[in-house]
Amino acid sequence: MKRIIFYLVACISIVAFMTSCEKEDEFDQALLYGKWVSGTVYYKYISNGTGTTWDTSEDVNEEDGQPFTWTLVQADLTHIHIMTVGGNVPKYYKVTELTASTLKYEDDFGVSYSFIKVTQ
Amino acid sequence: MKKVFKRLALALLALLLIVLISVGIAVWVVFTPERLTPIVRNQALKYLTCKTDIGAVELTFFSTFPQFGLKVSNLNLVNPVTGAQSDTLFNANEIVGIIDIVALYKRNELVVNEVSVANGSINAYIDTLGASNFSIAVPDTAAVEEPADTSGMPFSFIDIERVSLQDVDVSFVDKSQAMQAGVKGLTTTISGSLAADDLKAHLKVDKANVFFALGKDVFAKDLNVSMDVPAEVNLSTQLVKLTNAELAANGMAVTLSGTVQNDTIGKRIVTDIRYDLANWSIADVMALIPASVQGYVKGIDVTGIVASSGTVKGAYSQTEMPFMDIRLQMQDGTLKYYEAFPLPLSNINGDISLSTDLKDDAASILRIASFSASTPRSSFQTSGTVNHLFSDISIDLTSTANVTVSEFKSYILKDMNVTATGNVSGTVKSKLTLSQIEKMQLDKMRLSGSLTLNNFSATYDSLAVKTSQSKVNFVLPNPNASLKGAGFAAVTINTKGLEASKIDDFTARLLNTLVSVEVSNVTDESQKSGGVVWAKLNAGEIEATQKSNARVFLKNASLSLNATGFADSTRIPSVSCTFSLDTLFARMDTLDVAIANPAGTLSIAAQKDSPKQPELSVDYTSGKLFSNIGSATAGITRLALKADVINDSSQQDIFLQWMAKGFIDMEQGRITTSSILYPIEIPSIKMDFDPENFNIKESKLRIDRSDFSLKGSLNNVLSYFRHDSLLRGSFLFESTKTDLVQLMVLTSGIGETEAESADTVLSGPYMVPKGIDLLLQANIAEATFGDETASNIKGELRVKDGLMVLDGFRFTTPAARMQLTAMYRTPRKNHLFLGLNYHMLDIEIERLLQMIPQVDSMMPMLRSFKGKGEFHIAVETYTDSLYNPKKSTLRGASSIKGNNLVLMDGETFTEIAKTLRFDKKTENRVDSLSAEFTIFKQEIDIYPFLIVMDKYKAVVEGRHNLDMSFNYHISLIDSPLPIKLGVDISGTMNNLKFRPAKCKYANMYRPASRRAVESRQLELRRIIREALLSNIRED
Repeated sequence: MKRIIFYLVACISIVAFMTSCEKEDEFDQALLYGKWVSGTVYYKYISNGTGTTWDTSEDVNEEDGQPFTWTLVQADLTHIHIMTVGGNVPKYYKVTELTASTLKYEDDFGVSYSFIKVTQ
Repeated sequence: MKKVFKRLALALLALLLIVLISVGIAVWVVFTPERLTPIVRNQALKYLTCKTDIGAVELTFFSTFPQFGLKVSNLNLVNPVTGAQSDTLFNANEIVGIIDIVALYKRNELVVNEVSVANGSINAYIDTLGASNFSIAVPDTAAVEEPADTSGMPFSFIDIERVSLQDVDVSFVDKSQAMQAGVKGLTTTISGSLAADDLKAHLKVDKANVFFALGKDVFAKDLNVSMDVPAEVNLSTQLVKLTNAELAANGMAVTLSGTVQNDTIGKRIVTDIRYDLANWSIADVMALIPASVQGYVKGIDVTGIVASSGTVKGAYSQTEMPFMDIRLQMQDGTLKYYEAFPLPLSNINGDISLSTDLKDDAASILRIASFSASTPRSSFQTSGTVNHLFSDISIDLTSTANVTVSEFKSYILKDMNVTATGNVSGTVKSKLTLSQIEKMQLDKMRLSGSLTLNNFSATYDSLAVKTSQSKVNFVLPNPNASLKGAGFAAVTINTKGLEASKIDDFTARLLNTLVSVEVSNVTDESQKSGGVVWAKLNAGEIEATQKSNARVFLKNASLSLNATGFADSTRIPSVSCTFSLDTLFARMDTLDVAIANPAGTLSIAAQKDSPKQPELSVDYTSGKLFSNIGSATAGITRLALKADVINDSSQQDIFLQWMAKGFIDMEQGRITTSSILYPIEIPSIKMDFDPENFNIKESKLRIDRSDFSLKGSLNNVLSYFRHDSLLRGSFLFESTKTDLVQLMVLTSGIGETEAESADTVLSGPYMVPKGIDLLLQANIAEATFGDETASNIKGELRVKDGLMVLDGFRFTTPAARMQLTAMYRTPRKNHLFLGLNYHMLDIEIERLLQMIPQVDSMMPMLRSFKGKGEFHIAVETYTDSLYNPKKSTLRGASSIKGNNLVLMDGETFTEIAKTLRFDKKTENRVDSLSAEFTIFKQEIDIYPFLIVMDKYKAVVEGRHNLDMSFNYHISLIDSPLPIKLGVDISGTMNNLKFRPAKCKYANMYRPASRRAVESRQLELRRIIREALLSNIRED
């Protein structure tokens, strides 16, 4: 019985250890530069860590785009939307795929987003 | 002594008796007709070739006393000539001759004491060949043989004391000249004497009925002529001198005095004659006009009495004319000559003098001492002089007339469609020449006068003018010019009532008005002034209407006008106008304007560097002003305006065309309009302005419950319109109460293009003015925005190029102390930016949710709390033109913090408490609450925050969507239970699902064991809160 308990605890420990040490994906942020679209929603990432976003379905064009700053650390994509009247709106996403043409990420509430690149 | 006289008387009587007896013997005994008659007959046969019948010849003494005379009775000379009017050449019932025989015999003097012919006739005739019937003398052959002394008289002295004809008919027919002349009943006396070359004669015709004709033209018929002509003649010099010689024809007498000389050397006649005639009937004179020239006066019916006097002095020759000085007077004359003048003239009276030699233009002059005449309903008179009769006639007349205008309607051309009635009277002085009239050289004429129009009316086509009484004074040139250069003419019109109109168009009325106008000669291009006008008007009432659309009424108006250079096409004229009125009322369509006591000056002049560009100056004041356009009204108690305006017509923009500098001072204004619910009251406006700056010293405005006071300046106005600069302004806005919605309505649309301009009613989105930078410092005691009320509002409102910012507005509402920064930007009509940065301190959470219901949607759990806290939120979004948020642009961040809050009991709390096994006796008190949430599009993320309650500590986080769906998690991190529990809450408000879950934030408030996710969440909260709090400004 003790052996059984020992192996059980060992297995649990190994599983727990293996789980906590899971290695996160790492993405090349250079792939993020450019304009991405999902339906009518556009995101434009600029290499200096800034960007704009707009939704043409509501008569908002690129020149009307709202600014944000962004960081991509491994798979952690953080948008901080900068409000004109003062104040910031941070949004955190976990990137699940980033290629030259595809960007996918999801937030803490399990909402997934998928974009394709429009321009570099 | 008596005896001596007695004897002398007896002696003389005896002598006289002897003489008489001797004469009687000589007359009746010695020289009886029977003895004398044959002697005379024999002598007649010797000297006459015609048949001679002599009745008797007798010597007379007593009938010719004291002279002896020779009396021939029934003398008849008959010389029949074919064609002659009579065979009798001469006959007389009686011829008496008295000659001084002694003088003739002793001194060779022919003294004819008397020759008288009575009751005779003379018929002289010359045929077409020149042969006459009076060539009856036997040729004197002896005279041919003797040398003739042609140089002297046959007598040393001739004295004809009296030659008389009594009732002698004279007839003379000269067929060679086709002339007939005759005198009937000629009774005349001729006397005279000739000594050497001096002849003294006296011709007196008491009666003569004259007939004279040339060919078929009868020049005189039944002309009763009389004469009394004393004359002195010097035969050698051929000088005739008349002294009061009287000539009369048909009772019209003329008196002549003076000399007439035939200058044989100079071949001229030299005259120095004075004549006088009086009381001639013009009708009688007209009757004397020969039938041959009656055609010239055909249709002329003239009567009256004329008199004339004058002199004729000087020489008459082929090259000379004597100088005539003639005065003609006329009384009670009448004239009808309808071919030349359509009206009969009466009461013609005149006194006219003509001085002329018919050659010397300079010396010839017509003087009209007076001349007057009347038509049936008009009269006129004139006086003065007329010069230069033979070249450019010059008149200098003073004329007075009283004219009934309708009398002269025949002078108006029918196709001109002109009518006139009424009366015109007055005096006109004129000094001008005929050539000036022909050339219309008004500048050289001298005209002045005063005309009065009574009940006068005139129409020309559709134009009409009428006056009850108007007086027009004019003078040309103007000797007393009120303005330098305005000396050409002056006109003054003084009217009690004058109306001018155009049928179916306009009507203008003047009452008790005095108008004075002085002008320069606009046709004289040499005048440096280039045209000058001075005018002054004083009117009791002026009214002008145009149909029923427009009406202007002025009462007690005074206006003066100076204008120079208006005829100079190279520059704008200079015009200065000063005016004042008691009342002005104007109406056009639905616009009414009434002004009390408007007064001021208006001047226009050319700019120094741009003579074709005007420069205006206005200085205006008025009392009460009221205006309405339809249902809209505007009123002002006092208005003062002074402005200098420069025009630049080359500019496109109306503001750049008219640049003004000056000030406005207005008091107690009030405006009502249907587009604005409440009247706008303007207690005062005081403002200086120039093309670049508007400086509002004071302006107060009141709308309903709102009142505004605005001070400050607006700069770069000119540059703004030139697109060189932003329009900048800095104002201090103060108010005891402000309705922000009304303010937005008032300023909506300023600066928009026409296509985008907003209506006065805020029917579309409010578009923030572009191209301007205005700073409004506000100090508002109380303001309302809809149902919300705020007090002690202090902050700045900046409007800059399409962006309106309420910057750091601090105010207090019943719920909290607040600070608001708001931003409204209107890049496009369908893309409007609205942002708020709102900080509420010490606010009741319940009140917060009332004030901002949207917060309840973002963070619904707040409705479960009661108590005070602080709330910071920044939210912004773009909206469409209907202010519907574009959810894709919605951004927000908020931080809320509270202590000792009470968790409101309710179904949710009960469910949570049941799930977490709360002590049922536990008070629902939350010790502290500190949370942040963000809004991004439709997502509201509540970041994990700690709630301490009872014996529990819990961390709450989640997402709340605008579609009212939830996804929350509560981690119970401290409880009596040995394990950490969690619960997930999801669904919608109507369908919440509670599920036990893993405790997600077990170590969040345990820094040593905090995980990365928990750290990241806390960092994000810090970023959110610090960014919000950084906007708070300290008082």
